[in-house]
Amino acid sequence: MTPSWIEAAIPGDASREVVAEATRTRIGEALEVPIETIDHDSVGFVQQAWELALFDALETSDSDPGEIRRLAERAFQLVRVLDAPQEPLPADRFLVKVGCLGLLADRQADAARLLSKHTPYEAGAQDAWGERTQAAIWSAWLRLIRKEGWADLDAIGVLIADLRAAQREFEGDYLEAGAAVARARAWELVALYHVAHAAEILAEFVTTGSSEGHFDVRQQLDGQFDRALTACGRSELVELEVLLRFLRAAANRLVDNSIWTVTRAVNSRVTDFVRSVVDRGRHQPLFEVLPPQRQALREQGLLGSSTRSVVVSLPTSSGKTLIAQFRILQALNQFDREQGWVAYLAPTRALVNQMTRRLREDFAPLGISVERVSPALEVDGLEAALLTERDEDSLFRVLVTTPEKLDLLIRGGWEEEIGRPLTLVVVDEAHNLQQGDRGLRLELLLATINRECRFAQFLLLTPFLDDAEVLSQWLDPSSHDEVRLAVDWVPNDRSIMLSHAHAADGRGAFSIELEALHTTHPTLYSRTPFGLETDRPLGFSWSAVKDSPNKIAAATAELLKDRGSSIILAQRTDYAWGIARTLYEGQGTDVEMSPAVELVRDFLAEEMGETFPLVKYLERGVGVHHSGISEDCRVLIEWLLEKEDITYLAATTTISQGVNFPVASVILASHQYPYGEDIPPQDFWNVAGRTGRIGQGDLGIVALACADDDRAVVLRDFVNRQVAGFDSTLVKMALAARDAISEGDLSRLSYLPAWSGFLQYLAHSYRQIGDPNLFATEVEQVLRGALGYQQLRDREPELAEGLLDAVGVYAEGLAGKPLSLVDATGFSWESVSATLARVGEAGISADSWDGATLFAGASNDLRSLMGLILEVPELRENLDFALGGTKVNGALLAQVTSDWVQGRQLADIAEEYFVRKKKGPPEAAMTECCKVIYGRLAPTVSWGLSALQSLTLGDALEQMSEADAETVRNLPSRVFYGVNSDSAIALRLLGVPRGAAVPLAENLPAAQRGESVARLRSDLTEMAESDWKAAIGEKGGLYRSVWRVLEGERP
Amino acid sequence: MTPCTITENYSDRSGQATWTGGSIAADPDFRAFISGPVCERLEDAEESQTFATELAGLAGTGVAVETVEAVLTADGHERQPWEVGEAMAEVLLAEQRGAIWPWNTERDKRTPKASLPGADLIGFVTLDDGEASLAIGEVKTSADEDRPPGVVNGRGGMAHQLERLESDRALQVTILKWLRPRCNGTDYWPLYESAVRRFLNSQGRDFILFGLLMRDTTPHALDLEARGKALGTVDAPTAYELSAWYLPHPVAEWPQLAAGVA
Repeated sequence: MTPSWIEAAIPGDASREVVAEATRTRIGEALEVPIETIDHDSVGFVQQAWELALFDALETSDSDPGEIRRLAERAFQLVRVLDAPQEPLPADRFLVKVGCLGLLADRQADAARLLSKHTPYEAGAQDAWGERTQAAIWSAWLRLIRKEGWADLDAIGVLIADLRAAQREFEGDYLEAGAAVARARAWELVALYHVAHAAEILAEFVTTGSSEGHFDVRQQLDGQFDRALTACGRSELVELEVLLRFLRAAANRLVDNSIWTVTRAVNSRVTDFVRSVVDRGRHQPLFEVLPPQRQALREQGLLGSSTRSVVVSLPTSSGKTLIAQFRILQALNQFDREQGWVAYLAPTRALVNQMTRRLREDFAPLGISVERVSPALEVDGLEAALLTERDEDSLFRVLVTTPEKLDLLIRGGWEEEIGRPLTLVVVDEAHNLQQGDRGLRLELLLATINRECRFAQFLLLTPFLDDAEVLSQWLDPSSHDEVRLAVDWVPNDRSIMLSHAHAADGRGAFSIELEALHTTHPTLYSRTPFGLETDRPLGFSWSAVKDSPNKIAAATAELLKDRGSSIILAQRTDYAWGIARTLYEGQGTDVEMSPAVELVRDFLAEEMGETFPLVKYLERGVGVHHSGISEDCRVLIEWLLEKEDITYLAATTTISQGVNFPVASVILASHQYPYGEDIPPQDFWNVAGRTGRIGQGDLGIVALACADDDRAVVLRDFVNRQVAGFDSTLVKMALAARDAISEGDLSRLSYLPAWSGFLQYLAHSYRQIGDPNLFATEVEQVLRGALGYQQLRDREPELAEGLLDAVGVYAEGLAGKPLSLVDATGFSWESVSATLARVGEAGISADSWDGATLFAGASNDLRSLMGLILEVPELRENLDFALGGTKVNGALLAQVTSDWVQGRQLADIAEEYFVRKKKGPPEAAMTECCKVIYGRLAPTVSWGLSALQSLTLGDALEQMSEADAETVRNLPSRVFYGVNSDSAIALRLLGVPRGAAVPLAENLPAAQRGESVARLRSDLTEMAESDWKAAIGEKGGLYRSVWRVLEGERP
Repeated sequence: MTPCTITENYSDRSGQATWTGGSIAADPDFRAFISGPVCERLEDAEESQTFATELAGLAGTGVAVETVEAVLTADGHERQPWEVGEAMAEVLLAEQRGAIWPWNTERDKRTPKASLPGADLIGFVTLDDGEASLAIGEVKTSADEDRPPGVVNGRGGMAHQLERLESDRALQVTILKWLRPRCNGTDYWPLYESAVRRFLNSQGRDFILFGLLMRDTTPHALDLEARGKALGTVDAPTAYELSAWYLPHPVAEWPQLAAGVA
């Protein structure tokens, strides 16, 4: 970056000092720490100087847009620490300019927030006409820039209309009263009237996409501004002219940012979508896009192109979802005749639910049906019906699910069953591609889709990849694109800080000091630390906190509570509980609960038991979020945090992936995962990206608790780590398996989950090709489909060659094998064949799958099935847990599974199986129970059962009645959802909490009749509270409210 | 070259301020001066602009244009003495001091400058080394016999206005911005660049303030001395250049002299 000639003239020392001072002020204000008053003259001078440099760039015809943004950013960051003038009209003008700077800096959200704090002056009869005119106009422009919903945009029309109405009455006197200056006043009015009309034009455009029936809004605005500037020139209105030149540039930026501009002339679906997102009825109408969205959709032409493979690598919170939505609409349009569908992949169930809600809500007005299928690794009857729906009006067009489930569908031949082509795969959080087994599975899934799905295109969304191009090229070397920002755009400012505790005067007293750090990202830094006023927060003493990062983190959260909600990240679930407990105890008394908190508390008491500590913690505004509470509870806690109804959330990093949280601060008690592994930089920045997000607090604070100097060194280094380049898991796997590869024996690696995934990929490809000779010739092509193989060839050509040979050898062994079982089970051929042998020994047959008896107590069949499941390498690892100190075995697993399916309360299950120490903390057994049931047992056992069905049922299903066959097919789902009837499964799929699903299903005729998911959903939505109560009893109201929250409706 | 005969009556300095008094002889050269270059700054080249385009454009905004139109198309603007004083000040500074006033071609010359906030004078002065400085200033016209005349002191007086110009950093930068499109692509551009650089390098201190008194009285140093001494305390490199001009005709006659009718 070369400084402009004006910048070069500003003394460097002065500007550095001023920036440091301004930054310090901003952090101080955010922390509510008193800061020495800034030297307004010095800050003002440098600010003005940068503004001059910006003005120069704006007036230069061939200025680089990046240069304008950079200079505006500098001027904006300083102007925001300056005080606005006291007088109302100058204050309005000042803020209009602040708004212009914010817009030109691509910081419109920050600008809108600043402007929202200000009430524009409302002139009255006491004011001269010139002032009244100015007041109306500046008010209009302030509203245009901040756009607080329709109210602001409607107000603009009213303001200008009122101005016109009053003009005849007041203007004459104004121009006559000051005869000596009448001409000057007249020229000023001419200028102002044009600016007023420009505001009207822009307001109409922002809301409707046109102005006065025309789409040439830029020309219309330019016309008004040109005339206004001519009027300024006529009478040398120096200050007004300069402001209008800024305003003209800002108005153009508003046009650039308008969602109408970005999406103009793409296709009618897109236009309909835009119409719906700016609709009056919408909760938060979306009038403008964020700079990254603008760049992706318009400047980089994402909407206009038909590029097959696109990676969008943008910072957390830059609005990737909207970009994806437009791409989805484009893909649907492209393959409308074929009624193509889009798969949206999200890594977690919570994200799948969240994305389903959002897409469904946004696409419903367009008549685009969005469905989700559960992450369970089986396709039950309901899902099968949903997928194969043939009714034109109910066809799903977007399917939201996890990568693993889509893998199962694709390999199971479901694209054909669905009967319509998969046209786009959206991969959310695509950086997960490089994470272990799951990453490899995803990589191979994409390779499979790329190879087998004729119309499939790809959109990969990732927050931070330096070499995103590698990914887009991989999927289509001839038609790929990468969208990333040329500049370090951040949605809002944040500061990464170390939180130190120091002994203070007085017995047990201590203070907390926050030190803003330099990082690899554009974060606010300050040389001098910030001392937080303390009075032994949470009642801690110095001796208690000095060696405890958890307590330092809790104390920091307590001291920052006035600025908004905090997430306190702990290394382990038990630490999170400990932090929550200290916060709870430190509050001393209960706080007033919102109805939402009461709802969640009552639900927790119902689901987890009255004595579950989180029940009382919520009464003091303290929440907990980790794998040790049920998924429904986690979603509810997230909802409370989103509403800012709780102040603290003690969590583990399970919270970090992709959920949109309004948090002012994130405090890390540890920078490591449970087993001592450092949080990778990308995950850290993903978490940091959640602070002070768009539309939320001004400055996001991320604090790392630091107990001593050694730790400080580690943490400073930690925040300065670079995000690593993209590495496929396959490369690491191959490097670690040189021996097996060189010996040509891949079979022996099949017990490792990642290798199992790779071998399944080979088996599936082999099966698809169908001819051993052909496979031999195509094997390299199949391998090249995987990015990892391409990377391996580049880095370790010999090893890659060895792998190719080993794959050839492995393929020879596949000849004549029933490989469809590999695809149906998700096991390697080795596991399939070993399990088939055991099935016979265990006496499992088609008759074992009896819905009436299988889960009734720990039946013999269930015990045998569990024994088999525990032998399968792909499943075993996830079931390697202990119950009450005893390593799990078939009988124990059958017992817990049976209790779970029978609907036994979690608290009872926890009490019976998960108490390890009699004197352990009250939540320990429940935490373990939730971790095991939701994280391991339900998904793994249901997968195992489904796989065993594939191996044992043969053609038995075809001999059964349709209803019986459906019941058998649904058995694995009973385990996944923890209910014991087909109708209850349907309700669970629709998000009804487990405690309500069975009784509700019994009372819902549509569920009993086995109606479609869509029909059931609409019946459920229409059910009144009284209906729920009739089915469930008094708790019906509670469950109904909770269900509505879980489904994204707001009770 | 000035066409009129000037006599320097007094000249002094204190700190960062200089002040001079000069009288102009009542001779034909003066008449040529006031009805020539001075008058040019007061009158439009075309006899009377109609601003038809502007008024038509205004009608397109949906506001009523009649009242504004009446003001802007009104005939018979009576030139005020202070307008002539201001124009004279500009020409004198240009000729005597080498000041340069980027010409504002859009200006409606029937709109008096002094009626507006900001500075009466906006331009540059060239320096010995070929560089230029920003020059801003105030002009006061007075027939007051007092020394100094009333327009020098008090709120709204020259001294106060100059002090405001000196201290209002935002206004100074606004003026630099305003000059930007007027200098771009013209011969003034090197001066603009130089003035901006000097201004920024000095953290907003390097510029010159002109204060001009246009008088019809006999010359007397008391007109400027006290103010000169007070303003001279400003920190370098900011500098004040005050001058009083004593003209041979009564203030009230200046408009006619400029029009060549007196």
